[in-house]
Amino acid sequence: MKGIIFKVLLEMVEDKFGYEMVDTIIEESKLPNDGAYTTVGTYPHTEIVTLVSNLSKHSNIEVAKLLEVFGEHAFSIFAEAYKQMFEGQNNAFKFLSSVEGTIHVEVLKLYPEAQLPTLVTSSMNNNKMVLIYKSTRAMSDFAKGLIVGCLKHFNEEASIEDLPLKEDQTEVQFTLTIKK
Amino acid sequence: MSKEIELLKRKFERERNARKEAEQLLEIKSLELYQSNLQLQKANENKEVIIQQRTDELRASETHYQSLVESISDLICKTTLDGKITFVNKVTTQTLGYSIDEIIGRHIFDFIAPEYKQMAHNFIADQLKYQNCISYIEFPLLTKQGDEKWLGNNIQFIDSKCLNCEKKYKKLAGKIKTIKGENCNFTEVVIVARDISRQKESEEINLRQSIQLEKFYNQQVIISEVALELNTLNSFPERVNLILKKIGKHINVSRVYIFENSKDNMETSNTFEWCNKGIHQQIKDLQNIPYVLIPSWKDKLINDRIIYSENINELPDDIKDILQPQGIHSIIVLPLFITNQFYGFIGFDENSADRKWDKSEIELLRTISNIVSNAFERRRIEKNLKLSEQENSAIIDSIPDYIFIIDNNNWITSHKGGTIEVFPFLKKNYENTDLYKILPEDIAQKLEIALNECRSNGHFQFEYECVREHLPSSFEVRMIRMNKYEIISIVRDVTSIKENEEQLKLAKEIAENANRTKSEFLANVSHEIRTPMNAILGFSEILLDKVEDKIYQGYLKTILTSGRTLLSLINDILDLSKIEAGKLEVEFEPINYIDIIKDIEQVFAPKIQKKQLSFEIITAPNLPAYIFMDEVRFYQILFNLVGNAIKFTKKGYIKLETNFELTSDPDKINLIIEIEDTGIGIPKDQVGLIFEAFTQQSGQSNRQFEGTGLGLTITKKLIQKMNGTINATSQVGKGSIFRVDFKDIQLAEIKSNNDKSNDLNDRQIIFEPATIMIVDDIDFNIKVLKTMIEYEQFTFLEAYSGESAIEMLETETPDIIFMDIRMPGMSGISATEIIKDKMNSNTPVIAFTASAMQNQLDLIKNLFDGFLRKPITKKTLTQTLQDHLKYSIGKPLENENEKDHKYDFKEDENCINVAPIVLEKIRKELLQEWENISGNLVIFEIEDFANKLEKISTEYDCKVFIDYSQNLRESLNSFDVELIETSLFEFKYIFDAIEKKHKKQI
Repeated sequence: MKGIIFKVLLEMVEDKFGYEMVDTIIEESKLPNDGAYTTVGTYPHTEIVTLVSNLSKHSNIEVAKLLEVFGEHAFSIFAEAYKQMFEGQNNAFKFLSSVEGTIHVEVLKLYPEAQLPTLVTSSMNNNKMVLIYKSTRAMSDFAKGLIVGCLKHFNEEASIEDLPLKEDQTEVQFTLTIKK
Repeated sequence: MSKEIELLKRKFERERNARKEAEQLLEIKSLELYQSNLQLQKANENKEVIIQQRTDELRASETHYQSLVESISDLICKTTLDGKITFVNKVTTQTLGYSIDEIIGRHIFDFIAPEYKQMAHNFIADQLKYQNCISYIEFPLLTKQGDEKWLGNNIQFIDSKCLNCEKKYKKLAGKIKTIKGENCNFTEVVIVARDISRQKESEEINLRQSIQLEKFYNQQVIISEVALELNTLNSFPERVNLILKKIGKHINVSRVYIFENSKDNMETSNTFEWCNKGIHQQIKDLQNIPYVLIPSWKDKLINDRIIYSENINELPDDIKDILQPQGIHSIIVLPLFITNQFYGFIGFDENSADRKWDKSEIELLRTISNIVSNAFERRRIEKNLKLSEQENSAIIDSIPDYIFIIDNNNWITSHKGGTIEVFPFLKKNYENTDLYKILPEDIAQKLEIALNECRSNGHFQFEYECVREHLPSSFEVRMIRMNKYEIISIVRDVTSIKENEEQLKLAKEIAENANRTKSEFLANVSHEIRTPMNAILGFSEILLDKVEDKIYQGYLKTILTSGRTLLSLINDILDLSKIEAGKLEVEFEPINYIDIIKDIEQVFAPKIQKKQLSFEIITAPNLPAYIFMDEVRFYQILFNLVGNAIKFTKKGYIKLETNFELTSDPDKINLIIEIEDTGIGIPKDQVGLIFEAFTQQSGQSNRQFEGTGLGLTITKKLIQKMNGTINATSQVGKGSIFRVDFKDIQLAEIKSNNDKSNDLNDRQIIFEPATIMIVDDIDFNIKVLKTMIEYEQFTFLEAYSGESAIEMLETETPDIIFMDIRMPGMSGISATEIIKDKMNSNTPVIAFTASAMQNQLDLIKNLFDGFLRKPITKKTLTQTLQDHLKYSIGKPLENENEKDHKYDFKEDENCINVAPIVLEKIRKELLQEWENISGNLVIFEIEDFANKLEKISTEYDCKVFIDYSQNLRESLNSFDVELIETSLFEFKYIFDAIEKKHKKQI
């Protein structure tokens, strides 16, 4: 898991709940690096799961919701940090459909060791888009948050309906319908 | 506050650590960057090397290409529009054999073979005229050496535009003959030519081959025509003639013919012939030609499978002699075989001068001869089929049954036989119409049900009756499902069969009734004979006792033995009659099997000894002690079989072996008894007969082997009656084995009624004084009964008829009445009815009869208080008396010190005193004899023994033995084997007792 994700998460927690919360969940999570995350580093995926579940415990907000909010927030950070990725992109559907073909390809160029989820567009028209998320990490809620963030970024409104294709959430289908 | 500082400290610490890590990562990344730069530099250097290499390769390939161009194998020649040669390549000079100088400047036509010059000129002129920029033509050039070289010439008219002409280049790539130029201004001609001499040669070969192929094709055509023609056997002769004509014309011969052999293959006749124009027919002359005249002909056809000659002079003389007069020059003859049998031949004659036969022609004719053979074979099969079909239909027509075929609609589609006779009510035009429309409803319904059953089961059978010509008739209908769609229904008139059956049934019943009546009659007659026999035997014995004259004694003994034989004969007949009349009852009760075997052993011991045989008895050691059996009948079976075995065995042994098998029911066993002897044996063809009534093995001398011939019949019937089977296996001169199988014999846990230990207790019963009335028309019977009821305390009343009994009862009141059933005048039954009903008497009345018919028994049981069967045994008699009279039980006999109620040892001091002498004398003179007669039970021998004993004991005044002798003699009168046995057994007891007492005294 890329360090930027951890940074974004911890910053978001600090913004919303204060540094005390950050400190609590880091302490509780018994992390090997004691929470010293850097954007360019790579860290085990389990650490983010531990952090989020501890956050959930202390904030009384369920993990899924936290992940979704986190995803939404992360998208805004990414959009700011990787502006070049958004060149020539003018709507959410187009951007989302290019994630697998361009963004993930670019990410892999930078970080060949990165283990990325796949987000395949299974069907798309002007009003409706069906995306299939696949990842052994089962972080579809985070993905959903990213999609929400993306829609917000392009100032679009759409309903998102998620349908697990596998019980363990390693495969989830998102159906996006533009609201008019 | 310190908490917040702590928190900040930790935050700062984390930030610092993160920064450190980031710096580290950056350092690693920049190192990686530096290394990739180095690699990039190296890669650039490599690229330069590669470019140099590529350039070199390109140069090499150009050189290569040039050499390829040089070595092109086509001739290239350029001319002006009027044909002057301006350029030729190396190949051209080489091909033509001229130097370049010899060619350049000359006219192209100079090199074309003279006969093709005009053609080539015209062609090229035409192309120019029609503006064809590319065209193709073949012609030969002449080399310097004067040889022709065939060239395929691609002639191109060239314009300056040609280089950019897409059409031209496109067309040149493909295979074209001509393309038209588009307003081109031709300036010169380019000829690209290819040496096609080889190709030309192969074309010639192809031509030859195609001629050959055509020939083959034509042969194929003729073969298929022949095959097609002979495919159908309709108008066979016409077709054969036609094919002969076709073949004849095709191979162009003078004559084609077929010969067929006579059935014995000795002669052959011309049956089909075709003659070419101008050839005379010979079919009429060539009939019934004996093969003897042309032995080589048949020989060659069978062995070589062909007669072939282009010149008949080469052929054997016998063939030559017959062919020459016909003007034949050459010939092919092929045999016809039907199912591998030489059937005839097909021949092809050529009368014109020696003809060469092509190999393929011979093969063609061989194929055709095979086709013809096949056709003839099929014709024969078809003929036979037709014949057998005719035969079959003749057979079917002669069957008296009526046959219908009925389809799935229940419509009769076809039929055979006179339907009106079967269904007199059947309406006309019944075919292909609904059943209900052609038949009365009830029969249609019956038929419909039957058809449905048949469809589901595959077959069905039923019978129906109807009135035909005012007479009731019966029909049997059998239905068989032939296939999915049809049912065959066979209807047979069974009226007469039914009638016969009825009559047979009636006849059988009559016969059975007659047989039953006969059996009953026999049983009755036997009974009637048995009664007087009782008197004859009884009084003969008494007389034998009284008569002293040896001669008369001999007569009496003869009367006795004849009487006993007669009695046993009558008993046998009575048994058989009873069995056949179905009146023999078997009563199963627990019996001790071992005891019966012992009895049998004892009974036959004297005979075995006399004949010096050995008697082996093997009984399965764990055989259950008590089984349910009819004791009397079971004994009779064993007695008969063992008796028979002894009777027919002169030396060797008799073996009685008993085994058993467990069954699925733990309370039942299968009993297997085998009686083996080493006797005369039974021939194989007579083993089956020995169980039939009145048959002894044929040739079996009755003098040698006495008997009624009923023994085995009765035995078998008894065994069957008791659910058993008997089988005999035998070998003449070696012996026989009779095997008896009783299935599912019930085991008995309880002790048998027949326990012998009770027997002696009879003697201890002491009856109170009573009056006994005996009613019997026969004086002797009364006497016998009185003798058997030996107690002194009884008073007897004797009546000789029912009437006198009733009269007597007016004044007397007996305690018990014994009533004979069969008496002249009033029968025992009527008398008893009067006594019971009218006189209202309470006196028990005991039926006392020799009659054994079961139906009477029921009546007797209801009316009487008891029942005694003649001859009466002591045991049953005592039991009956015990049932109806008062009595007390004395002390048991076993107590040897106590007084025996019959034999008083204590008071007989004299006997004990004289014991040593008496016992010694008896031991010497009689003990052995006693042992013999104990097993034997021959009455006059026992009597003899009793007399001798009495004589000795009287001499010494030994009362115990005198009494015993008299008692023994009396017991003989009763014909009661049991009583006699008991009495005999007592002898040893008394003997031992006296000996003991004597020793005590000393």
